Amino acid sequence: MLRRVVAVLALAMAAAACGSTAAPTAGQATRGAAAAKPVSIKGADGVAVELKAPATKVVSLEWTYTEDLLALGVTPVGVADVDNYETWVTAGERVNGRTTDVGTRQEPSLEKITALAPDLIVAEKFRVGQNLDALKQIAPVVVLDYTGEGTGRTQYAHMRQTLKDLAVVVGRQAEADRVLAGLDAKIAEVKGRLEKAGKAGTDYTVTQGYTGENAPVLRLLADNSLAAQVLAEAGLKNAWKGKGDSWGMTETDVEALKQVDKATLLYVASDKDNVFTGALAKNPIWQGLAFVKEKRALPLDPGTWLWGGPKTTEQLLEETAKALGA
Amino acid sequence: MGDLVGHGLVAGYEGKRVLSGLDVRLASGQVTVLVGANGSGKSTLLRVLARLHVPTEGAVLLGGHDIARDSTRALARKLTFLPQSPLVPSGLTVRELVGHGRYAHRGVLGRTTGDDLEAVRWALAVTGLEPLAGRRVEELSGGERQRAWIAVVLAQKTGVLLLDEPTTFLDLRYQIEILALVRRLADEHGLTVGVVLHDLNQAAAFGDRIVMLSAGRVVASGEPHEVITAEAVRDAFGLEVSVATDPETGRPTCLPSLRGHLTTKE
Amino acid sequence: MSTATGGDLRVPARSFAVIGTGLAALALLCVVHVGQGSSGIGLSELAALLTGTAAPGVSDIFMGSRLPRLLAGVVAGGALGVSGLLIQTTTRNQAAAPDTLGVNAGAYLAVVAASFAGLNLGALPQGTLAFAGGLAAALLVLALGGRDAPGRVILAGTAVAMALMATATMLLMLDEYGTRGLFLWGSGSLVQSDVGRAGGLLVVVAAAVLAAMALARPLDLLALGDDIARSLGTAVPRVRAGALLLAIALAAAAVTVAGPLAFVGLIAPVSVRLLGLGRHRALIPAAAVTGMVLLLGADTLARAVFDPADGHAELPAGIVTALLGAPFFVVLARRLASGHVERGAAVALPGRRRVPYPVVLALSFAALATAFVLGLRIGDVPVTFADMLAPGDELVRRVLALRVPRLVVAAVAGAALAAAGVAVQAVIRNPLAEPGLLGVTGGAGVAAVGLLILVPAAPRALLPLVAFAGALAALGLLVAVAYRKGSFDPVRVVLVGIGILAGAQALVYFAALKAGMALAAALTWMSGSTYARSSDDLAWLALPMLAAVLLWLAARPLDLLALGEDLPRSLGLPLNGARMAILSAGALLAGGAAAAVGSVGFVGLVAPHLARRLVGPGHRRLLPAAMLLGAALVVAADSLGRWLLAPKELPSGLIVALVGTPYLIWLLRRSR
Repeated sequence: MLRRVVAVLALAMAAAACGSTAAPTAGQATRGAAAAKPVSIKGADGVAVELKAPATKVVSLEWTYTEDLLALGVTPVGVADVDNYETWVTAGERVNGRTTDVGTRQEPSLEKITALAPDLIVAEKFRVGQNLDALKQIAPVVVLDYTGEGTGRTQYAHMRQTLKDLAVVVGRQAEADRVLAGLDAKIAEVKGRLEKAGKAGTDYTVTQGYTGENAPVLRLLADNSLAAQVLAEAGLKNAWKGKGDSWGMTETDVEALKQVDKATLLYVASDKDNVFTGALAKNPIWQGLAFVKEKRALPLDPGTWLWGGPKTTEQLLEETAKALGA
Repeated sequence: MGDLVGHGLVAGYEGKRVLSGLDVRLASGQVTVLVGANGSGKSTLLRVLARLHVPTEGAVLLGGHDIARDSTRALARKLTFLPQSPLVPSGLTVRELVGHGRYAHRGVLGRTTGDDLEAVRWALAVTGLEPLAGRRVEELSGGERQRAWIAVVLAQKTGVLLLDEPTTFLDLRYQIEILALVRRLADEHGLTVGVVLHDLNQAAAFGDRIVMLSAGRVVASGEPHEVITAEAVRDAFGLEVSVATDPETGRPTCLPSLRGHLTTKE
Repeated sequence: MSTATGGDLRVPARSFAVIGTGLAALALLCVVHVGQGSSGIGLSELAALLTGTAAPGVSDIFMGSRLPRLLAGVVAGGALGVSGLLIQTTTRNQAAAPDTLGVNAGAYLAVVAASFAGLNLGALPQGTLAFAGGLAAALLVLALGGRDAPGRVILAGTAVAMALMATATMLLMLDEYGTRGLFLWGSGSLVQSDVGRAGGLLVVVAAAVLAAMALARPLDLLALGDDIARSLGTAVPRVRAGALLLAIALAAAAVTVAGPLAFVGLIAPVSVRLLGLGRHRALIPAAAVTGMVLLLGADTLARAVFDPADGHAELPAGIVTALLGAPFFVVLARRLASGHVERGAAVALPGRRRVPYPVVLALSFAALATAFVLGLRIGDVPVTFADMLAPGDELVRRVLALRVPRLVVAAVAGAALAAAGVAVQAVIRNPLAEPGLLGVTGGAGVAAVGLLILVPAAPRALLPLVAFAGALAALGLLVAVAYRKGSFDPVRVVLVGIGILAGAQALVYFAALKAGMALAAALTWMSGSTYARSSDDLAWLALPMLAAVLLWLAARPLDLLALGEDLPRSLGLPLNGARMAILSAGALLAGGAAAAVGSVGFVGLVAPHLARRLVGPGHRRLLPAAMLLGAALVVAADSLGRWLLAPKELPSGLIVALVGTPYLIWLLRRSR
């Protein structure tokens, strides 16, 4: 109850301070130490978190926020699922050996986190549940939502906003601006390269493939995905018009590619389970697809993660440009 | 306690009528044997008398009181029924099993009283199971096991005891042993006993009265020599028999006539 | 089980009519099915293939996707239909099927284990492996469940299947890299990468079906009973073994092509029997055609509702067959006779010398205490025994504040599950009756997922409450369906419960597919976990604990239930009322435990059984001993789950299932 009152007050203060309900804001220090200003951030669950000073010891329970924090120059003291992060998210700084693995993203070890004595925990909305109360006992928890549903922002805009929000609570707004400027520059650069290579406005489909129960499963990225939105910024056109889920993907089979085979295919597959060179290569549909016959099915680096933060996005842009020969 | 009387009983299963309006009386303190061909309704009748099967018409009165109005427990203090082959629970000793017979008196929460212990001791004594009281039920022989089941319902201390084919699956010696026990229960302990038997000779030898059923009706009832006649058996079983008198007991015995069933060798 | 009447020894006209109608339906379905696909290429474009005027690429679509998928449906559907028929004939049990006999689960586990071990196999080696797994599972279930008691076999089969699926899930979790796909594994799908696998297995399946046809006449005789069949000149053991091996080979082929598909192998043979066919010469082809129609129908329906050409995600056919099959199974269970009214599903376990009760209580308590202390000791932050007595360090104190509540919740939930098992087993009269089999936890899961979908904004704290309500609703449904003709046949209760459970699982799968990761929290919660539990969660167990006390007080009626149908009533127990009350208490206990720790299986099976061996069947003693052992088991599982892959946690439910599997096998071996 008390916490809720505090949260509401903090929100009201933030609103009064900058004249906007959009959190977060560096609070105008009305009390407390001169050096460290209080900071606040509003979570996707509507709960605002206020810290007396920017957080330095942060635990990240989701890959995207791990990437965001690293991009901001903050190495989290604890990270969930380190091994898989290292495998799947290859852009940006590495975290292995510099942080503590706190277990799975779904059920991170509360004890490990307690032992780290963090001053902020960053969690993903769809994963927290049973453990939210326990996490709050350990440290303030900001619950973020990767999909940005309900914010009215596109996933790309939301990714940028999330980075800025996080920057506030770790006191790295300048870093955030630099990172986002870097991303903008990357978009512009790639756009330019594509134009020079005559690839501007190319129709494309981007997909991630893996082996399902008995056949390859393809995740095609729809217009509401971060990848499609960012590639649109670079002047490319997403050919896939299927229904994307909250993460912007449609899980389907090889046949669906027939709908988009006039376009260029950009695909991601792990080295261990490359369905595009494996099972699909023997499939007559795949063999007959226009982009396969005309050599427009282009691999991206296996480490290209499609649901990440700014560095992953830059990697996607670079990989796309390279694949298209720009 | 009074007689157990069924009036105008109609009963059946899923639209198939098994009892079609019959009257029956189990006289107090006597052994009444129900006999009849397969499907004649004798087991159903016994279950109706025990209120395990609800008749669609008619009523069962015990000492003039309609048993339909009793609670399950109240009825179980007056009347009990032993099914043909009860499930053998694993791991129970004979004494524990017989103790289950006191449920109607102790209920869910009631304490075990001296009466309960005395009833169990008595039931074990009457059935001759005292030496086996600590044994496991599944270790008993067929005859011992059947006696243990009888001991369970005896421990209930009811006035009326209904037994459904208690001698099935037993060899001849055990059959006689069980029937002698049943006889003693009526003679020495004054129980009213209703029992379904297949063997007409055993029915005649051990029953005070016999009720013969056919197609859901009583075709004959009375003392053994009144019921076990060649005509009645022909009507009820569709079989020719010759009836004689056992010189030892004075009760009727019948032998099936095999004429027409065997081909004679030339 | 009807047999052909009259003296006509030829296949009667009715058989031709049934098979003919089936074939016509199949032909129609094939046409519709081939016209569906995510490319949006329809029948008219495909029809042009016949005239050679098709657009370029259309024949690729046909050969690369439509034909393999159609063939997969034909192969898997036909294989499952005949497999189910053979299993039902050899076991003389209408509710037996590749899934209820554990064949699917065994085959699936073998395939998962192979891929876990990094083996990348072709269709035939994989099929052989699946065959071995299915054979092992089926032999286990049959050798130990008995043949002539439908209820017993299905209980054994379901319990074995649960254990095998838990093991498969465990392997999948250990191998986790994504988050999404795993949960949907094991639901069965017709998607194929090429025509090779289904085409290769088509040959195997066709050969097996022909071999089954050769056995048609002896199989007819088998339906009359072993002794009669033998007297009539059938080599019963050889025919039975041959038919079962064929059945398992067919089921394994189906698993290899399409994964474990629910209920097809059950519904197809039962349907053809309901249509009045009796002779295997007609039953076998009819069951094969019906299986194909069912499976292709399910796949066609799924794609008609969620058209992949419009960009909808695939809905696996297995989920559709489960959704449609579960109600069918429930209705079937309702009309299924339990075989022997007195015996029902009863299983007797051999007696054993008892240990004095105080000794058992002391030992059980010691086991619980040891597990608890080890649970306090084990974890990501070292805590010494000295720390437990006098935690000096602030960190240690905070870590203990995390460990103590979850261990207490684990202990109380374990006790509740054990008590639920005692109650349910007393009513069903079978030590294999696991409370989860009543569909109670399934109902809890559906309610929890439903809440997250219908009211996304609802606070997560509502999850357990809704789950609890769902558990009680499932019980209500169970009672309403299973209570029939004035009696509460335990076998019917179990079968209806299994149907409800399967239906609930299918609904959850379906919801998970449609709602995606938004359900991650609910799914983790449902997998049975003691993670992050606090003292608040104990509230869900207060009422159940009261029910446990009442059960303890009502030990005498519980004892009497073991005596069958008639005797307890003669002894003065209102049987139906008592069964209802005890079952409700069991559901309350299981529902409360589900609300607190999700669906943790096997505790309700293992703990009561262990206790029964130690203190005998009397419930006054059995209940406390079982509850202590159940508590110890879940506490130990919690500790193991935190320790094995630290800092990753393994859900306690999985650990219990893994411990429970060998115990279950041992238990089954000893039952008679």
